[in-house]
Amino acid sequence: MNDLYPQISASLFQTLPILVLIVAGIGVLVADVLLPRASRWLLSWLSLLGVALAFIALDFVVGPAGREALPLHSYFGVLRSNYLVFLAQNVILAAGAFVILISPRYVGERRIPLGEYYGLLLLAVMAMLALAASTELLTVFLNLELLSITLYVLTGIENRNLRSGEAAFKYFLLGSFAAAFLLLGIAFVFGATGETRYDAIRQVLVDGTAQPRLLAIGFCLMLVGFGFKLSLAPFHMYAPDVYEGAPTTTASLIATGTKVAGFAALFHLIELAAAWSDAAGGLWLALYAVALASMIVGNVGAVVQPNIKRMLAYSSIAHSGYTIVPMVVMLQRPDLIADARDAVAYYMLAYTVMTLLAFGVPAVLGPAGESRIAQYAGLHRRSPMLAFVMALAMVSLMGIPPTIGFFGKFQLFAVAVQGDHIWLAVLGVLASVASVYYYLRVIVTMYMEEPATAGEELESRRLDGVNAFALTACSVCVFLFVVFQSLYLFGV
Amino acid sequence: MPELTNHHAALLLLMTFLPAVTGIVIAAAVPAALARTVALAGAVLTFLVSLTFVGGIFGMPADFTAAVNIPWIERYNVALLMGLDGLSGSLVLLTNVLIILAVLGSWTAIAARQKEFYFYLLLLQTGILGAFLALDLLLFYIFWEIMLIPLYFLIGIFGSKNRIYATTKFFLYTMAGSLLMLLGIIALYFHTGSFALADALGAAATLDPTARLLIFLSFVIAFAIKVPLFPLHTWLPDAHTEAPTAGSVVLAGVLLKTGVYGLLRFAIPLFPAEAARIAPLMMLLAVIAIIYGALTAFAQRDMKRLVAYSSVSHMGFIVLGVFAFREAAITGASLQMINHGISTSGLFLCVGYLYERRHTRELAAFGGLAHNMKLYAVLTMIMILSSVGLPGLNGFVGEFMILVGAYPANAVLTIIAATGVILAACYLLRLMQETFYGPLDKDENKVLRDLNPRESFTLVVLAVFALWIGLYPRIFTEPLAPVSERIVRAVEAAQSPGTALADATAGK
Repeated sequence: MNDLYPQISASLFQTLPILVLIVAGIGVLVADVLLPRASRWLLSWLSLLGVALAFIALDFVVGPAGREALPLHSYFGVLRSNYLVFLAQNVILAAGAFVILISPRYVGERRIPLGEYYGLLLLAVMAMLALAASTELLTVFLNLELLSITLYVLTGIENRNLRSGEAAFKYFLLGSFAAAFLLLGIAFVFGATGETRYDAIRQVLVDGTAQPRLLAIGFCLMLVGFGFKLSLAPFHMYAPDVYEGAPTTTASLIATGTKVAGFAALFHLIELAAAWSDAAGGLWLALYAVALASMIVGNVGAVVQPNIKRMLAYSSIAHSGYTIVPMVVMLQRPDLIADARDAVAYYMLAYTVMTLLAFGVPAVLGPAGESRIAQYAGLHRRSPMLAFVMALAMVSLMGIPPTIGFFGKFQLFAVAVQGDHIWLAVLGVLASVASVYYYLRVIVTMYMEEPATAGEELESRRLDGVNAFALTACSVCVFLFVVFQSLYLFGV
Repeated sequence: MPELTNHHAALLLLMTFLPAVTGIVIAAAVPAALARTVALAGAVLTFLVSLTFVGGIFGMPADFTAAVNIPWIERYNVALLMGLDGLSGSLVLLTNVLIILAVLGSWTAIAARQKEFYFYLLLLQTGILGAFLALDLLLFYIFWEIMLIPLYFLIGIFGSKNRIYATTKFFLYTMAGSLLMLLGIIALYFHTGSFALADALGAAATLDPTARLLIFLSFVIAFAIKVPLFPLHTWLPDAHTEAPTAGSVVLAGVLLKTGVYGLLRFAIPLFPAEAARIAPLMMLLAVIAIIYGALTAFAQRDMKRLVAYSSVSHMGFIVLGVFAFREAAITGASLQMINHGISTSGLFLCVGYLYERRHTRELAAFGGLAHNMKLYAVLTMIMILSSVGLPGLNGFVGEFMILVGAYPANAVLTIIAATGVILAACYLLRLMQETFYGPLDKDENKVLRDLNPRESFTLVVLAVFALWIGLYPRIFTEPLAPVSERIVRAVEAAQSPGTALADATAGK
């Protein structure tokens, strides 16, 4: 038994960021009980501190997994860290920090219980970090469930708002179905290969001793489970309702952190499937259909949404569709896995930056800013900075250079062209032309229309310093990684 | 490591980004009352910088060695490759002149949200200059797209009644074309391994024919939308009619030229054989545009819409010249781009000044203005005659060269196209007649004051250029001729099998 200690201590060290977040999450819950009511505002700073410590642990204590270095395994291969995971975890922590920064006023106005809110937020972020790194079937399931359950509560936490409760219930009901599919898929894959660890499964796939039919069913069922979490069509039905009903801060976390973690996990699964010579058949077709359906459903659905959060929900469905384009390609072309990984990694960053901005503005604007797009009329006059930030988010989501959205999309479609999936690229591009229409509508409303009646007008609100800081930092990121490509990704 | 070959490179970068920087300064730090002054100063300074290039680095080597070469995205081997030759240099100068005039033309017309207005206008200038200078395909695409957003805002915020419809239509049309072009650029990259035009030129010929044709078409469609070529032109009349004067000036003056420029710089040199294959179709579409644009212009009641359709017709001449693949025709087309920039921008300024006074553009609302707006009548007359193609003015030279060059390529189409010149006289002189002649019978028109010095200055500058090109075109065609010669040689080499392809693609 003694020889296990070094490995366990090494594993503990490598998962230090996750451990930090567990401690911080529990710490916030305890502090909520201990602190007098008047100083509960400390909780947000406490949770920010937790995220900051996790960030330090990730980047400076554990350190990056080199781009070409061998993946690091911990807990006997259950979790692993590589370039994609490291990037995803950084993005998730940044998203968590952003959500915490824009939360205080929002949460205060709605009388959301602070301890539960921040505590669960930290645990959700923790679950995301773990999910992104999971490379074992049951660990994937457990982390996904842990993440889901915290998000169900965070969605319904605004207990004075019926819509919040409704959204949580829908999310929970449909999420449980999806989890069941995922578990069933896991059972099939296990049945076909007799293994649960990805590296062991890969060996079975390479040897060709797996049962092909069970395996195909298993992978497809797992795709359903992931499709739900990533709000890929046709498993997207819940997304608009949940995004609309959930507190906007929670919605922004669901739209960004959850998806980043989910994409990293899905990427590992597809990477695994790519090792299987039959994957290029049925599973490939399923993934292709899902990508195409998401791009079309998302972009067409968003056009008719009068509500800003519903529109963003559909937009996020479309962007999930774009993001799995490289995965579709690499399933048929395993030689492009490295390019696909880089494209997905960069797009996770790009998508998170611009989506946080797009959700951040409604969150900062408060109640009126969260409903109809028409209420943004004339925003450029009352809150020039918020209007600018929102316009920037829209331009970046459209994929107009020189914003980060363009470079993200450029790489996704570059992989598709490189892998000779010209039609997928053409359809994706046409879908994003359609997206231009509804993103522009927000800009038109803010800059070119005046409120029809006095009641339509959003009250002008002063930005508090923390909100302004979060939005500014995010806006800078829209250009930063473009000007200094080598800083982050290309030169690593 | 930044590698500036000489001080020209630094000046080139300065000129490209100076407008954008000025724009940002205006938006961030300048009080609204000073916005237009600062914008004018920035535009003039940019123009002065660009003057230093005249005769200097106009002679970009034939293999497109860039003056500016700064690595940017190393992973995809994208670099800031920029350089000037006679063609892009002339268009850069045209841009810089027209932006100054656009600022002056908007001096009093834009009263509200001035900071935003000049911010967008100057940002647009950087986008256009960058597109003319870029010698890296991805960089070109980036500048090409940067042009969209500012113009979108210029039309959408400062335009007239139906502006949001017009600006959205403009955006969607252009975006659809350019995203397909992006895929073409990416495909070319994976086949050739580089985004640099110089590298792609040699490698494009080795692609398989289907890929070549598809990539070429993705370029041509994007550029044809921008030109705009019939039947992709419908966004233009709407955009022009709704745009503010400065928007129309820049749109007609230089933005449309980026489409033709793209054809001449990228699409045709990269794929000469394919260009020759579709040349008959393009010439046919161009002639349809000439006749259709002219007839539609004749039917317009709105002055701005009339000028907009005349643009469709005139751009048809330019495309006709380009796809004739004769040296005279391409040089004529290049010159005609400048001519059209002068005359059409002038006409839009004229219409804009009248609109500022009278707040209508209906032809029926005017008549007899020559009695009380004498200077205005004279200057407008020069612009109209320049647009009609009166010998002695610039339009004649360009159209003549195009027709002479296109005749050997396709006599029938050229003859039909030549009737377009007569039609132009019909609709433009009708504009003249209904506005200036006849009795001055409407009371609102009797009190209209003549042009003030600022307004006349803008038109006089354009009139001087119109006369100069008309009387002594050599100084303007000289820098253009080598570029067209190179294109013609590349196309001829691609058409005749057996000649060394390398010769053609290297342009030697």
